[in-house]
Amino acid sequence: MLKTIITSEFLNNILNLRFIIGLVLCVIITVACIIILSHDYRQELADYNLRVNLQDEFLSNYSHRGSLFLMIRPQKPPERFRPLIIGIPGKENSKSFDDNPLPILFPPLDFLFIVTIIMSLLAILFSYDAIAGERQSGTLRLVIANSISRTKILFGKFVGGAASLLIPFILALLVGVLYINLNPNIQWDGSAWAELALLTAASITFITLFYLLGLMVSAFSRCSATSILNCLFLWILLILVIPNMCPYISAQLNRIPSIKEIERQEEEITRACIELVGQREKELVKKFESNYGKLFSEFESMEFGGVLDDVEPKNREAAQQRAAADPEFKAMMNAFRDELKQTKAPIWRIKAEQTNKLWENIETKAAAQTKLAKNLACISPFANFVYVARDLTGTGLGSLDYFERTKVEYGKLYAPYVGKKVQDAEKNDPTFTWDSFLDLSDRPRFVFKEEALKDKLGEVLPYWGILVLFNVVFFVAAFARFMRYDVR
Amino acid sequence: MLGTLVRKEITETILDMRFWVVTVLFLILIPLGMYVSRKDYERRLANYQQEHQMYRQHYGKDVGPDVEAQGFRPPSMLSIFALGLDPFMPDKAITSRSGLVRAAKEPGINNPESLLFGKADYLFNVSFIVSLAALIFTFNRISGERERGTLRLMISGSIRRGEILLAKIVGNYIVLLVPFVIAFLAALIILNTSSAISVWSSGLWFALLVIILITLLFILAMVSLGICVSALTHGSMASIMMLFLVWIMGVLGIPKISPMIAEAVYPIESRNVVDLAARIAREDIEGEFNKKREELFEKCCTEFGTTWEDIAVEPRTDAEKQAYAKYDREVLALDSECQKRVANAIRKLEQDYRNRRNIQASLAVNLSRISPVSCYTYLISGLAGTGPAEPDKFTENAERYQEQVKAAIYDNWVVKTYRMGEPRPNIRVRQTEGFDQSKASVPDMRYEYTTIGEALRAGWIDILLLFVFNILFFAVAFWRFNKYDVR
Amino acid sequence: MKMIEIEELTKRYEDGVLALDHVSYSVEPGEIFCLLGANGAGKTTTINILLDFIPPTSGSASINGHDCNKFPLKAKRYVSYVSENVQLYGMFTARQNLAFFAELAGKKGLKKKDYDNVMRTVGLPEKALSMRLKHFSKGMRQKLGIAIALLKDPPAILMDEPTSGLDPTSAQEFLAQLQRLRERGKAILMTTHDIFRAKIIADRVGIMKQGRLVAIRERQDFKHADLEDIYMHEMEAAETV
Repeated sequence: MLKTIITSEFLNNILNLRFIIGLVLCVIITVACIIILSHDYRQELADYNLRVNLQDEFLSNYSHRGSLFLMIRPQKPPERFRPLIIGIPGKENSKSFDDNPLPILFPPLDFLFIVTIIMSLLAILFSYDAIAGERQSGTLRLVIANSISRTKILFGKFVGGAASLLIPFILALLVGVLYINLNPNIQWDGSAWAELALLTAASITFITLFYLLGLMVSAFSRCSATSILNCLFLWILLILVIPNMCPYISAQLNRIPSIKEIERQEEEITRACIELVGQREKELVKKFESNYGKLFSEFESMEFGGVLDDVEPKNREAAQQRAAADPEFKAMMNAFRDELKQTKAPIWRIKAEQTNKLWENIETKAAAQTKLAKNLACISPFANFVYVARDLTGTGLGSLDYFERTKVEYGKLYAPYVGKKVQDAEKNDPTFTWDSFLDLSDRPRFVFKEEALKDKLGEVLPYWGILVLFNVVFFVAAFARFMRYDVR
Repeated sequence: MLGTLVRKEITETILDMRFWVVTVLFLILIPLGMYVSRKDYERRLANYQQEHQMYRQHYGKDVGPDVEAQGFRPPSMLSIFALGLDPFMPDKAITSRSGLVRAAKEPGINNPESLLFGKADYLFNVSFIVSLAALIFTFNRISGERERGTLRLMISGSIRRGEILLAKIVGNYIVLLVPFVIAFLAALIILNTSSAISVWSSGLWFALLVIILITLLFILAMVSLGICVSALTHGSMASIMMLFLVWIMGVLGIPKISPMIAEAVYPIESRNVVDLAARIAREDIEGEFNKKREELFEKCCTEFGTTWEDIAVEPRTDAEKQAYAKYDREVLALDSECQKRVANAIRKLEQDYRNRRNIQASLAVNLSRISPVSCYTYLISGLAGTGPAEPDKFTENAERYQEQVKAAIYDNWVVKTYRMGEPRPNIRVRQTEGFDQSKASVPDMRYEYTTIGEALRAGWIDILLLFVFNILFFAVAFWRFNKYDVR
Repeated sequence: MKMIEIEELTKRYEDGVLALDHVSYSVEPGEIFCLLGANGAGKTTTINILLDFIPPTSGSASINGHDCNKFPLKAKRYVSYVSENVQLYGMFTARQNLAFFAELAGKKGLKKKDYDNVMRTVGLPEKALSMRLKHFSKGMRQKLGIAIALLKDPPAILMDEPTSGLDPTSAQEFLAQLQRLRERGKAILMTTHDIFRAKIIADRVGIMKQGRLVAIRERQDFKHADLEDIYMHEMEAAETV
């Protein structure tokens, strides 16, 4: 009985104009998209290799001490899912915006677009008249006149309809996957295929969500015309409006001061510390004046021998000569220098602590705001799916963070290496200066490894869960309404 | 007759549930979007002012020979309407003595989520939501009447089919405009309540007028398109499928695919590559010239009987003075040649790159003009100062600023280098006459966005296309409707 | 044993309209019961309750002893439904439509000759089996609707205005159909406006007005009299009550 309904719904959809159009649209756009994006990926890979080589070349020929840390910028290779999903330009690439301004005005077409916009609309178009339409054509009466429970009818419609809907999607995906497989430039290992499988599963969750949305609205409508209107209205809300409003709403709810504010505060702190240091210096000078009297005045006339500030070499030399000649003078000078260091040190330490706290504070606030925006957006299945898809495939904000972390790890390797190199060079060559050339050919190389799949999966599960929850809610609502649906 | 038809169309549409749904949608989204954009603009403006202030406080008096003056780009007021490229444009131009000005962007704790979503400005609302609403409004005006049987009744009277069609377009357009205009006015009120913006200020109200006129033209095009879809199909189901196709391809697909096709057809390397190549070229040339300078200095020294190892920064003996003098004279030629070579090399690289990029960009833009949404986007973002032409405009402004700073500061210093490298670089710096360092200050960059006139001139083809689209959709609808099977 | 039993059936809608007012009658196997009445008299409501489209306010309706409201699935196993103006599944062929509803009805293993037979029975050409429904005329669709009911072969058949819009020849064939069904012992409850045909085929006639069953007449009552006169008379009489 259930099988009959499933088969009938499935066939009905397949024989319909919407199936053909959906199929053609899906396949053509997916194919076009994958071809173009693969081409882009090839470009970016070549670009990346070029950048790495140029960097190597530069370091081999021009690595003087001054530019060591300037030139060693770990490069991020293009994401391996780039043929499917376009990633987010990282901070490094923000300088190169004028590569092509158009993709910013019109965000490009990729797999995410196909699923979230095309498939979701198609899902609604498949299901908006599943109940209301059959009521209008009278066949719903005929079906109910038989001894079949309404539960079975609804469930059969869902399964049959969703199956017919997923055919264009799966076909298009297969074509894309075939292309990726055959393409020599794109090397995918096991974990990439696993990610793709998971991505497909998540996409199916998303698509059935919208099918159930249409089914639910159909169960709440008397005729197809109202049904499609309500569906489209909800679609606009869920996909176009809510995800776009949330970052702004969260920024309003959770204000954070701008970077300029923080810099200004930092400067205040620094200025206060400098004033304080100046005060302490004056006090110290007075103290030494009263303790050492004339000896100290002599010292003062030599501008303190450069202990307090940078002074003319002749004063510095004079002080050194005097200290060499007079042991008392030397003792006083050393005492002065030591006490000065002692008074200054805690002040600078406090300054460092306060500035660090300032920056940490704003970072936590920013993180909180981002989290709020992310959570708010979860009202929309679109946002949830985007998080799942991007984080699974390493094309999201999470992967940028991960890249920063790996950079830091690399820095921990590179910095001691360079330090040791410089030390060795200085030991061997006394004329070693800022401009001297360093041979870095044996440096540790930066190799980018993808984040482990199970880490990513852990990140992604809550959002996927929300998508599943939406599915359940829509089905239950459709079910409840259909039980009392007036079939006449 | 036309009047009767239009009146009936208006009445029928107002009673349709679609009208109320669309009204609610417009009245909520457009003012809300404007509010959000306005707040964002105020934030960007505050950032700009703070940055500028802090810079002036700390570095305003720093007019040394090698100072890198910073010019700041204020956010464009009209960017409230179309955020466009603004978040990705550089915030400041940094000049340098060598003659090359570079662009930089303040790192910001942008809400990173807004990289993923976060489009709520007027341009987005109109090109996506209003266009979809216009299509939803009109997609089955003809096919629906056919299904209900009322089309038969209408045609059986002595009315010309063209009149029916025109009445449908006019009637639906009028009804759709009412909620839109109200929402727009509400948005303008919201705009005006901001302290940073006054709607009545000289440039702004004219720009607003242009924006609303272009928007009205665009909405008319979408209404015509919807009626065209309705005339091309014979039932609600087919109409809605066609609406789906048209919206996906026209509004979303074509604008997105065009840059991708352009990139595939005419690929260019990325900016990073060009930058690195430029840097390498400069290092090479300067290395070459440093060597030449050293040789020249040695020659001058030996000519006058001293060696360059003994010579000090300030010449003491007569021989040294003569050596320095001769070097001073002759090194000028080397210096200027070096500068010229560097500037030429880098300029050539930049120019090549920019030319190729412009070819690719214009290919993409022209391809995308198949969709009225693209034309509309280019027009509005161009007016707002955030369109595809802005990066070049920034470069223009930056170069002008470089000239400004050069005249105000760099030209007032004469810098001579005698020796680079070990043990210490030997550089002598001198001020020119009449230049009072204590009284001078770093000039401000006067940033000029594209004016409305310029934007309209640049966008004439888009305006023309919008008119053409209107005519095209009506013509197709007219042609099909004359053959339409009303049974 | 009464196949279709209506007992004190009452239906009041939420807006207060009384669609059925304590209606009682029954239909036996091998009997054709025609329900006459104006639009809105409650004829279709009766059928809707029998098919569990809506619940009754009070009273009961049962098919083959199973209450339609309490055990709808059981009751519906014994009944077939012919509705007026049903579009059926336009993209399916006649055979596919028949097959689908037969499966729903629990009939398995139907062969080609079963389909051919039923098409012949209702007077449709066999080649129409492979025609899509959207190409069928109204009359052909009516006939296919009856074919669908026949394939299920249940003891009771409910028909809602089955001859509305049929041309005279088709209507005549339909009556012949009903006759054959009666001979096979089916209980048939039919609502109609068509007094002319009701007179020819009905065993009993029920006249409904504003939710009440105002008269039941046996065949012998109207075999020789003018059913239309009786109908009009009963309607006026009911008015004065």
